[in-house]
Amino acid sequence: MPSETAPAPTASRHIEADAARLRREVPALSSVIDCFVPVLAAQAGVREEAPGWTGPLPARDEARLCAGEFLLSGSGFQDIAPCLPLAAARILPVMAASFPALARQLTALQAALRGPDAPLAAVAAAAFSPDRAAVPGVSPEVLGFAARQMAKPLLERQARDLAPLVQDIPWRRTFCPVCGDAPAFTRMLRVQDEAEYITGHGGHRFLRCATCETEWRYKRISCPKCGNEEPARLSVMHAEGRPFERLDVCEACNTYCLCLDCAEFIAIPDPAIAALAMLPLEMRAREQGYAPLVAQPWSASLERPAA
Amino acid sequence: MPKAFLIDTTRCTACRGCQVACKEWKNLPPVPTRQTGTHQNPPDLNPFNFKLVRFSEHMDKNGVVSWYFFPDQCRHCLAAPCKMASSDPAAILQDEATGAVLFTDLTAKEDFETIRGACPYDIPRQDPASKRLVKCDMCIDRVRANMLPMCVKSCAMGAMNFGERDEMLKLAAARLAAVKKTSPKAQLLNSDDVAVIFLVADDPLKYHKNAMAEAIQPMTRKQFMAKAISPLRRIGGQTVG
Amino acid sequence: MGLSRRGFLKLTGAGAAGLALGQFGIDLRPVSAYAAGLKIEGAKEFISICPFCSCGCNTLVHAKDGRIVNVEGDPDYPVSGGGLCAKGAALLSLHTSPERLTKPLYRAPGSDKWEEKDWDWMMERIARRIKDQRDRDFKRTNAAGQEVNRLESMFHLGSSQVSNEEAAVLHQMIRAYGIIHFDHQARICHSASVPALAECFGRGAMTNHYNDIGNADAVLIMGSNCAEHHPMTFKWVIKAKEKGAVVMHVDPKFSRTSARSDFHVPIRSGTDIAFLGGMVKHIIEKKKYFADYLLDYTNASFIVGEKYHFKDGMFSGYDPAAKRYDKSQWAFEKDEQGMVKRDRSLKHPRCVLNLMKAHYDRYDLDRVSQVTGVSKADLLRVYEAYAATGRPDKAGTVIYALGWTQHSVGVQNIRLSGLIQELLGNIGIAGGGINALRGEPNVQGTTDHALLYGYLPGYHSTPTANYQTLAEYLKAYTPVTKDPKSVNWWSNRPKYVVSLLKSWYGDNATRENDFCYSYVPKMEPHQDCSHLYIFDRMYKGQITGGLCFGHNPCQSIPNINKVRKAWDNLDWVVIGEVFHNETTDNWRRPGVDPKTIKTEVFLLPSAYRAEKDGTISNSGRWHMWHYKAVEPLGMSRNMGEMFVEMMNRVRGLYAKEGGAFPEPILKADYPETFDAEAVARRINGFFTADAKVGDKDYKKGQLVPGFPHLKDDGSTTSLNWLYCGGYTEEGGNLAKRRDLAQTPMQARIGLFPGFAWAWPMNRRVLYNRASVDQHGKPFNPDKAVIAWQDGKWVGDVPDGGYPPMAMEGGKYPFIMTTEGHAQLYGPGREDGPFPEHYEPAETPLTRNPFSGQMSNPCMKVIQSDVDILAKNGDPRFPIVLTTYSLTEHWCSGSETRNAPPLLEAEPQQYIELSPQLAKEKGIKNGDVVIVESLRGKTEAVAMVTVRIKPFQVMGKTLHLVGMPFAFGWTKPKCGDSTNRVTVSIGDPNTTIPEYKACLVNIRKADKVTEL
Repeated sequence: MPSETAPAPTASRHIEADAARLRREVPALSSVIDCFVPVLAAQAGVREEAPGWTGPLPARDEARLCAGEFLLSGSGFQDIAPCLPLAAARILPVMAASFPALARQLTALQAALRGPDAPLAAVAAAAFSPDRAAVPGVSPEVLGFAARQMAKPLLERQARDLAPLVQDIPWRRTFCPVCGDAPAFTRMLRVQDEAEYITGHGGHRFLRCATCETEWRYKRISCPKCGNEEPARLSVMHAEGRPFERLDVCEACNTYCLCLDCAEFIAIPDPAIAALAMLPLEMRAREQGYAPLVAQPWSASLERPAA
Repeated sequence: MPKAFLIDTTRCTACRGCQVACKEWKNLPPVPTRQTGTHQNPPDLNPFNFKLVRFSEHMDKNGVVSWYFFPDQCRHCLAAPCKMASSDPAAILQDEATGAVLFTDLTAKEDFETIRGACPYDIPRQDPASKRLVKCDMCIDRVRANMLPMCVKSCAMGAMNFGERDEMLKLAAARLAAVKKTSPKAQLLNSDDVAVIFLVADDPLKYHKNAMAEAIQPMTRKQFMAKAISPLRRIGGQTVG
Repeated sequence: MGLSRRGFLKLTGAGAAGLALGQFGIDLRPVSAYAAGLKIEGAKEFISICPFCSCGCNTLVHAKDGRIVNVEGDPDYPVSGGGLCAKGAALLSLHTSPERLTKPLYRAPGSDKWEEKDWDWMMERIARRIKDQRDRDFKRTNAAGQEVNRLESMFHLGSSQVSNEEAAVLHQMIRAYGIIHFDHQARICHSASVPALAECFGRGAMTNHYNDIGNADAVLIMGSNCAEHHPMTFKWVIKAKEKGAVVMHVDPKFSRTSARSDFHVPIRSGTDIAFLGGMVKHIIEKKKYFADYLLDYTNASFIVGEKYHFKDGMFSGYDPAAKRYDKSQWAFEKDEQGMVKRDRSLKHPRCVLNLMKAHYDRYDLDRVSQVTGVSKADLLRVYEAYAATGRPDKAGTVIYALGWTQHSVGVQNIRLSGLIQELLGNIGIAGGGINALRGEPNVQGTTDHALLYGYLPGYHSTPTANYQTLAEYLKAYTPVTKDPKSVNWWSNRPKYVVSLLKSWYGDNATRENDFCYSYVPKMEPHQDCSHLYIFDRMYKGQITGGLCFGHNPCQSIPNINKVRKAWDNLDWVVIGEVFHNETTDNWRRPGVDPKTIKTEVFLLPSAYRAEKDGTISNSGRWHMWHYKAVEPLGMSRNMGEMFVEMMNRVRGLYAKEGGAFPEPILKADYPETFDAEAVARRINGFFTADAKVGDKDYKKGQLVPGFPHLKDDGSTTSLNWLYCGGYTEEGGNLAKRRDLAQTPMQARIGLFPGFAWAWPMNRRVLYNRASVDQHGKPFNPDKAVIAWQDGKWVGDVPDGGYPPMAMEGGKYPFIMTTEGHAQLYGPGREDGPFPEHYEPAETPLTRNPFSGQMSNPCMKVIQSDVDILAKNGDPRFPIVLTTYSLTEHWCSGSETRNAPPLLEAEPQQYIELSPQLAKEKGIKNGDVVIVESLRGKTEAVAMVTVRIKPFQVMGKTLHLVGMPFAFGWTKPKCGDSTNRVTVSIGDPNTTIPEYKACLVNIRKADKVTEL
């Protein structure tokens, strides 16, 4: 069998290059690209700088994993609070520039995180419980949003260190083998089989964790939300001329998930940019009454009228 | 960034998926063929087959049989002799981004035999209707859209690989080292000169008479034409097998 | 601070829910406008299954606007991982081919053209034809006055292309009409496998499954060119090789399989028993066998009765007039309690091991080498490498296909490999077994559903006239053992037969009326209604009408000149097909004046695979659902609909008009319309009354949870007990499952228990109880199939859920054989308890060095003016011809010749021959040659190749040539069937024809007419 985990991502993700390409192809997305791509790039930088998992790795219990218990089900991630100053320094100024409407609050948050008495634990907690008002001058919702953007690359970096522990486990669940979260993105990848005889042409489906970006193999023609496998009630939506960007729609539970079919690609596009490119498709799907399995930062509140 | 193929013949099983996929993508019509005493069919490259799997079989003095397959196609030479040999510099282009050697409509005005003779691998053919010269174009339309060439996409054996040249060279070196363990004569063909690098397990002449060429130096058309070209640059010249 | 699962699960679950895009201060109007203007395309993806070989590669079919736009391999299918071979890659063009049959076509007697008709007209006329013939020819009784209720003058042929659901409704219809001349492709491709494997181990199917081949330490590929013809098999061979397995290819021709094996050993076609007999001798003499396994799990220690003997090639009990053995002379010796006597010291001269040792003592290297043409060094190379697996921690697998089955000794070829696997302890273990690579896509399923004259669905022999009551029939076929440790599963046969009859006749079947047993047609004892006899009787005018679906016999049956003439004798024939082929268009074949052909032909256009839903069973017994992606092309329909409508029309006529013994038709419980899902449920079976299984209550009409719960009192139905458990109240349609989850233990051997469903009861490796010792401990813990842990079995579904042998209630592992053991000595086959080398019916030898018996004394020899055999060593025909397939075309080629890329790559008939023979005959590569036998001649292009070598046999050079059988006259300049020269000779057990060896001569053609 081909490997159970997705091929390693290319060494450096070409976020900027992919974004530039998208801007050329879909100029209408420029404003969204302009705002979100710098944030994505800043997050990528933090991911590279962050310490990752420190100390001994958690024990790998093959039997428990095979039974469907994800790796961190007992322990959770390591505390991200100590890394928040780094994340804040890299990410908050970029966010402030990208989202002028939030600039004042983000600057306040950045200032609060600078001092020796910085409320690190409270901000870390806010990433997970967005209702907590912990920083003066910052609304709970902006704090939650910003905290999550800072936490994400730190958690991704931890998950990268944990990935070997779940490799080669036949994990066939709809939630992440590392942290248990749902997938926010899916990709179809060409997996080179090391057997020198008849390999697949691609199209292996991988689900990608919304929180830590771990990827794991999952069967096609099935809804990761409700498990529906009747092909008559599943369909694929794509825009004419962009066949590789698709929404996999389940008519049983009215859910869609984003899917990038990379089987024919030479270079695999950055998943975040690919997801951004599908914003127009998402808009159409929302109009038809479908909801995302997990929303993207830019598509979470599409159903609300744009202010 | 220049692109390259690695064609690992040790993985090829002559399923001819590449041969068929190439035709289908290019909308090339089926060629009426005959059985001529070999599974190789059509018997040679032609204006409607830019990709052809060549078959060759051999028996050594101990009676051990070997059967080799060679998915032949344009090598997209880094310094393309066909381009050097063409009279109009606009007739044959080399795409800067990918390194693809591209025959344009203007090739209809070139002397076919000169261009064909210039090719160390005997690749160019002439379309009988348009007089255009034709060959593999690296699926340049697809490659520009970040899509694998059809032959690579269709290969079910992992024999056809495509990507950045430096990555392919790395892969080629790794595969060569692996294959050499069991096949000491294994080698990469003209890897310094071409964008389509073949890995063979045995003497290249056992695969195809034009599997390999002498090294090619870049030169002007004048220099090029001044040299006796055809078919001296082909190393083979004898039908084997 | 660790973040608990509860905490971080909300990280993106809440996502940016708190923030609307507008709050970011982004102007979304351009995106909204762009999105509104997008042209959105909707597509559907369906799982289908490739309609070619039995690898059963799942495909993803993309449909848009009701049209198929793409077909690719399904990456989730564990066997293929998403790959497709050359034929699979042509599926899109085949499904959408302009050559497809899309309208019902009618050819009137004597006409030279097809006429388009509508379905209604065709079906009405077909029903009338069937009824008239049935009314005219139906026999209530035989010459002896026994009730037989059969219709001899009508046949049905085909098809391994139909789904299990189509097969089930077809079988029911055929028996209702009373047809006994009923056969399909399994007869000519793998019929030999069923009795051979069943005699060895109890069941007739591939023991393991494709993925499992990757677990082998030694792979013996013999009589198969799997790299070319079962490509996904070879994927797993290569996996095994990469992990260090030795891969050996023993086959007449060097092929792509040979090229990728560790080594290739050329062998003269028809001498496999000599080759393998030598291996048995080697294993026994060098004590390479797995002693504990041999003693505990095989019948090595059983004592054979005194009447058994073997002299000069003949076993005791032969009746030369009937050409048949009295098998009672081969029985085991039993004690006063009726238990088979054993000698666990293995010293008794008549214990099986000693008889076997004596039998194969003659198979010394010299003699084997003389006969097979294999050098002694090559023989030893294979023997030593393979015998090395006779250890608890090593696994050897045997892979074979038609190279073994299609011989007059086809069954015994396979039997002998079974003996070797038993000696080495290779059955039931991961990486072991005998992997019969079945031919066509659903030939396993259609064999299970018995589209074969000799069986009812689920491997129950077709009743014969001497069993006039159900009780007599069941008594004859229900084995009895006195050994309490033997499960003897076939003692359950009455439950399965009664459940089948209840399915067929519904409420009409009662205990009082013998569950309508009398409606089932009865054959005469020993009557052979297989292909060769059907065509012989057709040739002789005894069969005059019939049905042929998804089958091309006028291309693929031996001695085709006879077959085509026989087909001319039909008054009428109904054919269901996807493309025109040599059978549909036989009336206009070259050299024949259509005016002289009286046959009325009804040609029904069939849906292709992606246009219908249902299940097929791959060779590894995986029962898999395929979905209908689009409506059938044009007016084509699936065959299930055709059968059901046909039956209901005939039924309507009988209801209205009466006629010959209408009861089996009128009283059948038969669907009004064809619905694959509904038939799948009927195949599983229902309770006909409220029932309790364990602590669970089932209502009348609910699905039976598995065949252990079928009953012989009429309280359950099941169209096929093997598949009972595949569609349950609890799990639904298990053939649709696509779960790839495995426990670590299962993952180590690639068991995939959650993907689809395998009969029986989802066991993936048959006889897996033999993979553990007496205490339930795996012989090879690294590749354990099952293990007894904490009072229960883990891993695969155990083949018999009893505790380990050493514990109370423990049972022998081979639950399907009467005495619970794998059978080295098999007293049930027609041609002997041990395989013995006989020459093919046509042989270049004049002496068999193993005995005075030249050919199989029991082989079926068809007698007619055109069935003629060359004499042994006939100097006019000194060359052995073997026939085979090729990668680019499928079987008779009737489908794949319609794919232009495949035809471009392989356009014409060819013959492969050695350079030495070519030189001798003055033939150059590419010349057209005439290939001639006593039956006929055909043209082929010479392919002179070092891949074919001359053999040194009995001190002389012997030449062998090979030809594919895929080229036929309906495609111009393709050439014509190789079967013009082959022989109508059959194995005595199943009458599988001897395609693989006959005698020919070749010469350069002076005139070419066909190529």
